Amino acid sequence: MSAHRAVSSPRRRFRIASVRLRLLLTLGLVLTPGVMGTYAAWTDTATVSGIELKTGTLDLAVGATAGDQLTGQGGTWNYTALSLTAMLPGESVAKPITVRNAGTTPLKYTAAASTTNNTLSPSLKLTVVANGTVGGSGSQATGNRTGSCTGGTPWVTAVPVSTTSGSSSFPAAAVVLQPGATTSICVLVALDGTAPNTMQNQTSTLNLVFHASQP
Amino acid sequence: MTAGAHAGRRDPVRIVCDVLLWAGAVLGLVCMIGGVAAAVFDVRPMVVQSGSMSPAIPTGSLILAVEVPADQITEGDVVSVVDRNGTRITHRVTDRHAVATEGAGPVALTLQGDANEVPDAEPYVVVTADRVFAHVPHLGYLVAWASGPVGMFVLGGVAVALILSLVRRTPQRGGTGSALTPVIVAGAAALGIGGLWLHPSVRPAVTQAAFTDAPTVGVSFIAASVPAPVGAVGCTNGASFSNQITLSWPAVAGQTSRYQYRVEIYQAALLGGENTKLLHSYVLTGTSQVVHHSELNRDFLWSGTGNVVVYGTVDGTTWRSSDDLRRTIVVGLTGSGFRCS
Repeated sequence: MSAHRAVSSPRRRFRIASVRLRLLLTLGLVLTPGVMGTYAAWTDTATVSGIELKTGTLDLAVGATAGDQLTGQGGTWNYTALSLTAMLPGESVAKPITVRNAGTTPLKYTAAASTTNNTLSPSLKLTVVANGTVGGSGSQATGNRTGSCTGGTPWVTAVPVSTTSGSSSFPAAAVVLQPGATTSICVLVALDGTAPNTMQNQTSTLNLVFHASQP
Repeated sequence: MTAGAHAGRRDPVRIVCDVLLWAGAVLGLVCMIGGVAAAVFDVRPMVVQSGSMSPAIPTGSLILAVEVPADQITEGDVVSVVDRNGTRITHRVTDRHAVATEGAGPVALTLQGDANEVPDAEPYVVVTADRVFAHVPHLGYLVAWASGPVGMFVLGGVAVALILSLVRRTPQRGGTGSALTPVIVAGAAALGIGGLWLHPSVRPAVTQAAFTDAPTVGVSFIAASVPAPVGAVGCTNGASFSNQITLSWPAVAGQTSRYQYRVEIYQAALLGGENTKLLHSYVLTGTSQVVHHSELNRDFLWSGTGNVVVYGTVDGTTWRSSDDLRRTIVVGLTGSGFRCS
């Protein structure tokens, strides 16, 4: 019994020292996340304190009148009604595009227009008017199809589009959409009346990309 | 006594406590070394709030970044920058362009989240950027929790308990375990809560889908082409002394009302070759045209072969058909010598 005590006593002192050292070191484990958390940057969204993060989806949908196209991520919707074939110089077309927040969080968006090639685009002129009233007249038979966007807030007026014009976006201030909210924009594309002879039978696909992100 | 000491050694609770304490010590040492190293090398920890870089860097990752000059950033790097709204964005570099022509000036970075289909709308012009060199999945949740009110409270409580245990006098004989037990229990509880936190089913919804979305509306535009009449130019001599001929050509079907025919009459070059002198031209929507000898803008005393060219045009434009119809006529000195050839 006593022999046992004699052996265990230094071991026990060692043990107590070991326990204290380990306690001290464990303190580092406890404190480090706290210290790190106070100066860790939050990335990808606005800075928030603590963990008050929101859940949700960000989804911008487009469409002619209902914003019923392209729900979910990305995608391309071919808006055939806005397309125009056999365009003669001076002809134009205007159609509405409805932009809808189909997600569950607010979003902001801007738009950018570019073309897939530069064959016809030097003579294509783009006009975009927020909340503009869409109008149209003329016919293909008479070669005087004309679209119009009246009223509203012009975002761009008769600007040229090209393969590289997508780097400039409009409007200047991004539009914020609450979930379920929509904006209607009038898009007018005209073939310049002074389009040179070389533009005959040329084709360009114009892509209007709506860049949505969190406000 | 002896029995109690022996019993204490074999007590599974004490063994667990011992193991936990060892684990805490080792991890604590790692944390402290890492913290000092981070401070020395200016490592910037960040918590990823979104899945836009998943699966490479999932939501809730803790990422470590160091600031590097812009000229050391290459495509494919994951960098963290602050956009014009003050939002910190961590995405992959898909394109970089030097803004200054030479030297280590600012560069424009195009960033794109791996899970995003399109690059960020805004190019980032930076002189330096925080380049991500490491990331630890899930650890961001722990860090986020630790910096939140609940985490601060729990960790603070554990820290206080640990400090109290440290400054406490040597525990009574055989009482080491019992003195440590509350601390271990508190630590285990904290770790347990932390562990629960990491579990997706219990974790509060931290997964903010900070994705971008970029739907595209595609529209095609095709310009018209201007066709030429197909066939041959007909020619009818006028009555004697009428001094005129009538040219005609086949109609082109399916054209807009802006479509027109243009008829040009040239003085044929002496040795062939290009038409040079235009004698007269007509623009009309019909398919026949009466040409009077007196209309021709002839050189004095010139007579010879006239070339007739008929092609399509569009009113109000410079557009013309690439093809045309041709024939020759005879232009005499007087109207009586004006004949189809």
